[in-house]
Amino acid sequence: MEDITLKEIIDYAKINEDNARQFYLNAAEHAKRDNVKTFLLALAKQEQTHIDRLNELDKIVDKGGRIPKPHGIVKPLGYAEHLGNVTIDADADYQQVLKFAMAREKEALESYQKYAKLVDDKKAKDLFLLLAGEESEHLRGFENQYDDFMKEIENW
Amino acid sequence: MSDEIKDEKPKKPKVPRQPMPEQDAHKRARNFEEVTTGYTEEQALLEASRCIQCKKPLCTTGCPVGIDIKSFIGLISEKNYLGALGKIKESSLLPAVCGRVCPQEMQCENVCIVGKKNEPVAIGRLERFVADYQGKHGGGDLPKCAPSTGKKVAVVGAGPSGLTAAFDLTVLGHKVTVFEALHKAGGVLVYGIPEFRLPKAIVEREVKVLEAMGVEIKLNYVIGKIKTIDQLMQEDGYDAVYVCNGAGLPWFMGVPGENLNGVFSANEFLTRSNLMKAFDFPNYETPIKKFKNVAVVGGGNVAMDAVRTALRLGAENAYIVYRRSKDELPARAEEIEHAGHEGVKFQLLTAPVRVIGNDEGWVSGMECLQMELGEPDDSGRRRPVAKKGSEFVMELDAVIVSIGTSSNPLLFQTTPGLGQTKKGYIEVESEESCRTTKKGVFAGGDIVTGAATVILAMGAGRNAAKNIDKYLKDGEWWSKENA
Ligand SMILES: Cc1cc2nc3c(=O)[nH]c(=O)nc-3n(C[C@H](O)[C@H](O)[C@H](O)COP(=O)(O)OP(=O)(O)OC[C@H]3O[C@@H](n4cnc5c(N)ncnc54)[C@H](O)[C@@H]3O)c2cc1C
Repeated sequence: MEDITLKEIIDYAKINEDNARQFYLNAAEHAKRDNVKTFLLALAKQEQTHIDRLNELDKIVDKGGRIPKPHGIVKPLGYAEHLGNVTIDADADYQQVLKFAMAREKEALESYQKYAKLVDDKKAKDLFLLLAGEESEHLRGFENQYDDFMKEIENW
Repeated sequence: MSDEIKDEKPKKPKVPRQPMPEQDAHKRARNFEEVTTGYTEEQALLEASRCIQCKKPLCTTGCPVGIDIKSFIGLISEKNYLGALGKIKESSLLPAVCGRVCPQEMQCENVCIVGKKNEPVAIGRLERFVADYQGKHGGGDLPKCAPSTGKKVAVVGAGPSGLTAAFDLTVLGHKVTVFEALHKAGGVLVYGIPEFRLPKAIVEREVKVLEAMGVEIKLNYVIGKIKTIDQLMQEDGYDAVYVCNGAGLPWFMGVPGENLNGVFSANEFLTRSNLMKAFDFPNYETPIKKFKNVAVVGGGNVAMDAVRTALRLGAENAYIVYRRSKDELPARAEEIEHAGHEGVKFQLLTAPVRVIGNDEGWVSGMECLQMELGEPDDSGRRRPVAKKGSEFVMELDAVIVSIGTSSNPLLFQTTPGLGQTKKGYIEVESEESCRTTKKGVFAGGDIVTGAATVILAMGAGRNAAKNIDKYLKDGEWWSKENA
């Protein structure tokens, strides 16, 4: 892989997060169910917090400061395996949105892990691993939500 | 230990808890007759004698509608069975139903003082005994109703919540019309819970009582399609509406292949069998294909009902496929045990990932992943974790999805001003008041709480009736802003 600057990595991550934010906002606009609309808006907000976090990293890089060390990958529960091609349409329900969110986080996690392997520069590698670690936390968060949801609906 | 319990000094009952007579497991696995056959009078008297008539009984606090259990059991001991039934009916409209389907082991029997050292008194079985006694021997008058108030109330849904509200409102002198989407009244009691757990004749008997009291029941009447709630109030002159349309919209797994022929929701499968009497085809019009290898995905009571129905319809192998372990199965212990005795196979810690079809578009199998329980997380819960590379295929010709239900969006889409909770149920001021965000419209039962129990739905119907009566007198409403 060609040399890539830390700033470029952060920009790339920001674009990803912003795409997701836009996607959730757009889906919320079309969602027919009020509760799904609310959930999608909350997801868009969550993506914004990820962008804010990336902006902070950006500032650190600008100032020539130290990017925090990667804090490891949270082991996923495996619910995002075999999800196939999940999409969100206007009729989407809560479960479908959760599955989409899990699939998206898994994809992001795997792409950062892949890039971390491809780059030689230690700092770039660490930054990719840091981002991968954060995506793994998001994925696990959604997996927990999915498990809670399955537990909750299975009452009878 | 609480003072109440210390006070009571539970004595050892002289007789053991009376077992419930039931059909032989092999025989009943192939018929639709009721599994348990009910106490004889001798057994009921013996069981009633186990109640120590505590000074401060806890059983009543364990009952969601606060039945005076001590008194009704005392009346059984005096052989005053109709008196006992009357005592139960002060708090619960459907004892023959609740005596059969209430999860007493988690409610009244769970706190029974005798149960601290011995087996608890079999309260549910005694409740069923007195209700069946009246069913067999007759007796018990129609309740007295107050003079007509001239007010009209519409009830949307004829499940246990709607039937209870209709009863109480009629006793209070209001004119009640129940609108029911299906062709029979009873809600889950007739379309969901199978005949072998709850004979439909019992529900029909209760519905007839309501009709005899003057409640009008309009069947095949979908509110939101034929008429909206606004039309009921503005055009048809209903002064209040009680919405209790249940939570009957099934969740699916959202895995590939779920639209193949041979995949059902548990609701559809049970409705075909129970309400449309497909098990008695061709005597009834609705057919149901005979399946050889059936998997029911889910581990709750609905799943147990579906899998036991599949066995009775002739399945050679009927499986419960559940993503957690045996300890987490949400179904009642009694139902799990009954299913096991009847030959149901439990495929636990298993998560389906894909339904597989043949060339004709019918189910031929299901690919699953094996799960294991992870380390306890911060909340102490051990979540199931997928085992890498553990994929395997179950050979099947039917998959019944029973992972839960939610609310149908129809009423929200057709009723402006009807608030919805984050989880998709009707928003109310409180479960006690049943007042929704729309003036004159009340709601209760599963459509407010999410899938719950018969007794809770009945309790909501009772609360709703009380609050509707108050509203019809004072016209007061609440506002969310001031709440
Ligand atoms: C298979 C199964 C087994 C169960 N077993 C047990 C058990 O053993 N013990 C227990 O305590 N609980 C059990 N439950 C749960 C229990 O049955 C429910 O909690 C209870 O029936 C809820 O009562 P309800 O009156 O709120 O709604 P429901 O019983 O669901 O009744 C709602 C009614 O409204 C009608 N309706 C829906 N939409 C409209 C509309 N737009 N217009 C007009 N009518 C409409 C429906 O057709 C239905 O008849 C079981 C549930 C199922 C599905």
